[in-house]
Amino acid sequence: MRCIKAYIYIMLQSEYWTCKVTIKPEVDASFWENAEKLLLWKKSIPLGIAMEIADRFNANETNMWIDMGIVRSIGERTVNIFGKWLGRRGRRLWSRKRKGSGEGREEGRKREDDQLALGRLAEIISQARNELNWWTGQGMSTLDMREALAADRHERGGSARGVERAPVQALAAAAQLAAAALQGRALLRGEAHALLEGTAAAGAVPTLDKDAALQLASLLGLIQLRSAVSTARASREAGWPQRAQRGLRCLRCGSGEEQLHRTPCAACGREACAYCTACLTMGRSRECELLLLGAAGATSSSSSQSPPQKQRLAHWGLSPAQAAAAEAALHFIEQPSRPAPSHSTESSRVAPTRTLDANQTSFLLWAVTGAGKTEMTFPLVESILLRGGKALIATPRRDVVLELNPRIRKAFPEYSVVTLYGGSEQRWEPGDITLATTHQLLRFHHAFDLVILDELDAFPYHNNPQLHYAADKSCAPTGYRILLSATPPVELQQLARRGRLAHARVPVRFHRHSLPVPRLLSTPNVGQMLDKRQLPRRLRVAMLCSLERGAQLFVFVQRISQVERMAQLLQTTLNLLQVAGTSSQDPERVEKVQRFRAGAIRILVTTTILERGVTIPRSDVFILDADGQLFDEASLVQMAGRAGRSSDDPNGSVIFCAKERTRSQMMAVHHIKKMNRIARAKGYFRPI
Amino acid sequence: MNGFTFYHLRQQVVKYAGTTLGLLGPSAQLCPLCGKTAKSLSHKKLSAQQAPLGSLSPSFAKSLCRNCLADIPWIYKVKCRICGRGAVCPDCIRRSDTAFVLNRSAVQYSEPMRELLAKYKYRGNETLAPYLGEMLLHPLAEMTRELSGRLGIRAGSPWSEIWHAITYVPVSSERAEERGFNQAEKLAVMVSQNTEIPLCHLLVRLRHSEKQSFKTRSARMRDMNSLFAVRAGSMKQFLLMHNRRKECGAPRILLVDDIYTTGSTIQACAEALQKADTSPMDIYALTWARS
Repeated sequence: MRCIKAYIYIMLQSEYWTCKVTIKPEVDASFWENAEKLLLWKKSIPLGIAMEIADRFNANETNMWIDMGIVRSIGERTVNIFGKWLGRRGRRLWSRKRKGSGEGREEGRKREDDQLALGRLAEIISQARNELNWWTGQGMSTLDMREALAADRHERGGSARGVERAPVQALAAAAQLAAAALQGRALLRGEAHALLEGTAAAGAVPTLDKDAALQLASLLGLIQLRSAVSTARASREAGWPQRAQRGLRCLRCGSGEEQLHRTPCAACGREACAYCTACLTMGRSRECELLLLGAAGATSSSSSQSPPQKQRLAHWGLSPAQAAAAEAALHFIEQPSRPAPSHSTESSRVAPTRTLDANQTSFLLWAVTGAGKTEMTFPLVESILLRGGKALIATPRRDVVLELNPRIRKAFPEYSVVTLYGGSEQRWEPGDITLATTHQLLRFHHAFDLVILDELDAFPYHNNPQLHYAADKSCAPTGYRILLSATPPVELQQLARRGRLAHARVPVRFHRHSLPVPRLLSTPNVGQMLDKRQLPRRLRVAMLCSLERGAQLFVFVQRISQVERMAQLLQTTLNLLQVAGTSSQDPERVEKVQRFRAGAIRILVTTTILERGVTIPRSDVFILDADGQLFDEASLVQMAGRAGRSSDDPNGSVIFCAKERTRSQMMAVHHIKKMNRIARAKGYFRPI
Repeated sequence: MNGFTFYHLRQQVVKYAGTTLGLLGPSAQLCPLCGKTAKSLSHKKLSAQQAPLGSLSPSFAKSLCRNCLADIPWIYKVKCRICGRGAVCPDCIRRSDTAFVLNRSAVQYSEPMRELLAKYKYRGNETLAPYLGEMLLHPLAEMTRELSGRLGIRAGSPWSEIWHAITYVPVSSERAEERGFNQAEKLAVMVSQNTEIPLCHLLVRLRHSEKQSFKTRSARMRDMNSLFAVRAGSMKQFLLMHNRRKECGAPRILLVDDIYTTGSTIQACAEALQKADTSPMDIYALTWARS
């Protein structure tokens, strides 16, 4: 989207100068009708710099008036600088002021204040020019906004081609609509325009300038206009030295300097205008690009008239283990009072500073593979919806979003459901329940009362601070987060153990049978098998056994390059045609998985790409090279979780084939056994 | 959430441990094209690779992962002497009045290349510019060799002696504002930096035309009339400089663009350049992809 020209102006109101940034000066001019003075800097300024200048001016302001005496004494110098930068018009003003000493004293003082304020602005601007390496060209000057506006209007009135400016009331209505549509969103300017275009409400006033509506909404305090990449305000609030290195941050994904890339920008004309490389796929977030932050969208009321928890839980038909966990989570998100967030709701908070109160609002649902996590979240979503709030379910993969959609719609027929993923058609629709892929979270800001994060430890969350930031940001300050995982990262496990993170464990599958415990089988590694073109006898026997009992086989290998060759080897040695291999680079992956689901493929050779998500009723799992580096405890547990998913065949077999016993394998076995132990102790298993 | 404190802490540890270990072992960089951590080719395999990697700096091939490197459909054998296509070309047979001498492109415009160009041009991933720019060195080297043979210039002489200027296809100011940069200019800058051929900003685009990719062949041709003009000042300066040289042949100018489809853009730019001076110029087009 085209970058935007920003303007700054200073305004005198009850003897107090403030500097403001605008994208539509006309709107500001009519908005501040009662201001004593409005002076607009004539040249447009790159947005990021304009914001910085306004911040500096306003930060100085307080000090300035305290030290008024000093200021007056150095006034001469300031004004000189001002004269230097203001160009011809400014100098003329200045000289006229000198000459016109005969005017009333009051008038003179006022004008002197003007000059002082302008001088300071000019000084800050020239400072910014030096420090921020920004070149504007010559001819900087200010003009009185209202005069200019009047002149402009006159000119337009005179010429027939002039477009009539939107009437004030219509503009106000448009601003209100825009603010409502932007609620809970964090959008770049282009996205905001698309959103306004898409919403039916704004379509009613199509001729209105969208920027004008947005500017008015921001003046009314309904939305915030920010530069998408800007200095982290938190550092200042935390009292860090102001002159410390100007650390920029992408306000949308939270990335710091190392993710930013500076290039000459043809839009704002700067030599080094930073953009964020981390969230580039969602549109370019840039220093001179506008980011619009809507007001918090969360609306849930804590005083609920809903039926008691037990009663609400009952109709979801959960297993005892599921019900217990869901009840704990329900209790957590319905706690009567909770400490108000200690921070302000400032959006640009830096990720690490936010964490102290964050764990008070998070709940970890640690549920084994096949426990029925989705069903457990239904009562939670219901609780939020009953209180009039909004819920989000975020999952890493698009196919999960698509699969979840009908289930959610069926469970909550009277609420609106929006699905968001790359290329989704419901991009700009508001809904009570939002189903989204994780990247879509970047476009939200304090929007949801309940954020449910599925597969927290999987790609792309894993090692991706941007998505963690986005997940945090999308949750309202008074909202709650539910983290779902079968294999939570070690840090979260530790926190849960220490009692610093509320959590509930679901140690048993929904069918109430124990998890299959992996069997360790000593075999040569895959490379050797492929070289010799033969399978070790014990592995072959185990596979034939599985085939005989009618199971389908998952065969996991470490490398993509081994997939095809292994599939061929299995085909010849087992004398079976229905063998296929697939990997992340296979264009026919979706198709092959479908055929595997349908039973047309008996053995599927694959990599960790299929460690989650694919459920086959009667399946056995063979993990080759289980001692390899790419298979850690979590992925071994996930892969093992592909077996015994259905209640018809709960005892599938899992075999770790490896040359060596590694810590990961032992930990995975330990993990699974422990879950079974807990389930047995709690009496969750189906009585035989 | 609190988990994230630890998360970040661990990130830090991993980061620093990574840098320390990185000093000891072979570095595992992220591939600039696909963004994944993947191994680059080993030294042995690199040297075993055929041209064009020979004309690129070794750091180029080393910084890309092997998958991305394998995905690049280099144009090795030029079939059409004019437009540099890898196949026989009906366009050039049809055309009679080319204002440029020939075009050479680095790669075929395959699907992965289309995606790569989209990442750079439309998504705005400017970090790709150095790599795409460097890829142009391969066709430039070929072109230079061909030309120096024809001109009878010693093969080893610097490229700046053979090429008098390098310029690029301009974009309209609207497009520049929207995109933030001119993709062809950035490529030209990269080539100029690598070869020391002087970069001249010779052209401007007069009006804003619709995106080329939505138009048919004939529509493109029609549209191109008087779309470009010469920057009089830069042109004058360039000609002055050129005429001051001793050997006063026709100036040889390299015209850089990202993609050559029908050649109408290159043709229009070349025409505009030719009009600027009474004596003819030799304009050679250097494009990143040939579709």
